[in-house]
Amino acid sequence: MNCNVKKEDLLTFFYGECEKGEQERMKEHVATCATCRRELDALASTQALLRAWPDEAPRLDLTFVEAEVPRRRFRLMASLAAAAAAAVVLFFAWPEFELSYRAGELDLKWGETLADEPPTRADLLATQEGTVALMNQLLRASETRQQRVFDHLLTEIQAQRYQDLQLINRQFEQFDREIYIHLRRDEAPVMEVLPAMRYIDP
Amino acid sequence: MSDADLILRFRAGQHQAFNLLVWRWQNRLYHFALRYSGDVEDARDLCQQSFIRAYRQLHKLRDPERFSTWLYQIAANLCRDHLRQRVQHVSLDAYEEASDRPHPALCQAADMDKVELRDLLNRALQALPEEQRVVVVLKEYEGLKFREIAEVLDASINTVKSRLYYGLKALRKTFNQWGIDRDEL
Repeated sequence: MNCNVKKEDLLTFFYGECEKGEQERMKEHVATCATCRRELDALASTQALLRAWPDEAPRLDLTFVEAEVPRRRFRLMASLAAAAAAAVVLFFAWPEFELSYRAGELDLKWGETLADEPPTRADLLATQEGTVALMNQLLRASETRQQRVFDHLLTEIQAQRYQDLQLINRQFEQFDREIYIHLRRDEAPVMEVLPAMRYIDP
Repeated sequence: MSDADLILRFRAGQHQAFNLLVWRWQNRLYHFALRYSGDVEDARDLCQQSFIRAYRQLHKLRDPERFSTWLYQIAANLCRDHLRQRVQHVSLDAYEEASDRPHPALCQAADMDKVELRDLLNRALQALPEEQRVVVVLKEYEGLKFREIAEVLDASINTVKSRLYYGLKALRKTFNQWGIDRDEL
C-alpha cells in the first residue's frame, strides 16, 4: 500500500508538534499504515540510541568579573583640560582683556572697564611674577593629581597580579591532583610488572 | 526569576544578574557545543566565547524573552565558524583516524560501556554534514521546537524538518553498518 504522508508531517507527528486536530488525524492514519509505523519505529530506535549519550556533570565554572576602569575620573580630567584650553584661547583671543597681579591678588578686567593709562614697568613686573607663581601652583597641582592617578593604577595592577598568582597556584594544585590521580591509577599495573622484570633480569 | 528578568536587571547595572544567566545556561551550552564540535576542549572554548559575545551584545537583544534562541544562535554561529577553520587545518593523520570505522564485532558487544558508546555516537554525529548535525543536536539533545530551531538557524521550518529527517536517516544507516541498535543498550 502506498502512503502519501510527507516525511516532514511524519516528523512533526513523531515529536508531537502537530496542531491538535492534525495530531489525532495522524494517529488514526498511523494505526492503519504499516509504512508509517515502520518509519516511526526506525525514528524511535535512532532516537533511543542518540539519547544513550546523556549530559555529563558540569565541566565549567564561568564567572564574569566586572573590570574596574576609572572612566569617570578620566572624563572629569578631560573636561578640566578642555575648560583650561578654552580659557587660554579666550585669554589670547579676547581683544579687550587685561590680567594684572597686585598685592598677592590676581585681577582680571575686560570690556569697557579697561584702564586708559598704559601700565608702568612695576605693574608689568608684578604681573609677570604673579603669573609665574600661578603657573608654578598649577604645575604642582597637576603633579599631585598625576601622582594620585598613578597610585590608583598601581594599586589595581597589584590587585590583578595577586589574583593572577592565586589563579596560577590553583591551576598548579589542580595539575598536581590530576597527576597524583593518574599516578595512583597507573601504579597497580606498574607494581605488577616490576616483580616480573626482576625475575627476568639476571 | 526568568531569563528576561535577569536581563533587565543586568541592563539596570546589576552585574551579577549576568552571572546567574551564565550559571543557568553554561551546562546546556557546553553540551550543545560538545555535540556540535565533537571535541571537549573546543566545546569549552566555544561555550566561553559564546558567553563573552552574549555579554558584549546583550544590550542589542530587543526581546529578552528570546534570550535562549538568541544564545543558541550565537553558539551555533561560533561553532560553525570554528568548524570551517578546523577543516582548513585538518591533517592527514586526523583524516585517517576519522575514517577508521569500528569493527562491527566490537560494536555488538553487549557490555559496551558508556564511554565507548558515547565515543561511537560522537563519531556518528561528526560524520553527518554540519547543517544536519546542528539540527539533530538542537532537536534531540536540546529539545527545541521546530520553530525555535528555524529561528536559531535563520532557516524555514520545512528546511529544518528536511535536514532532521535526512540526518536521522543517515545516523540510522551508520548504526546499522556498525551493528548497534537500541536492544543493546
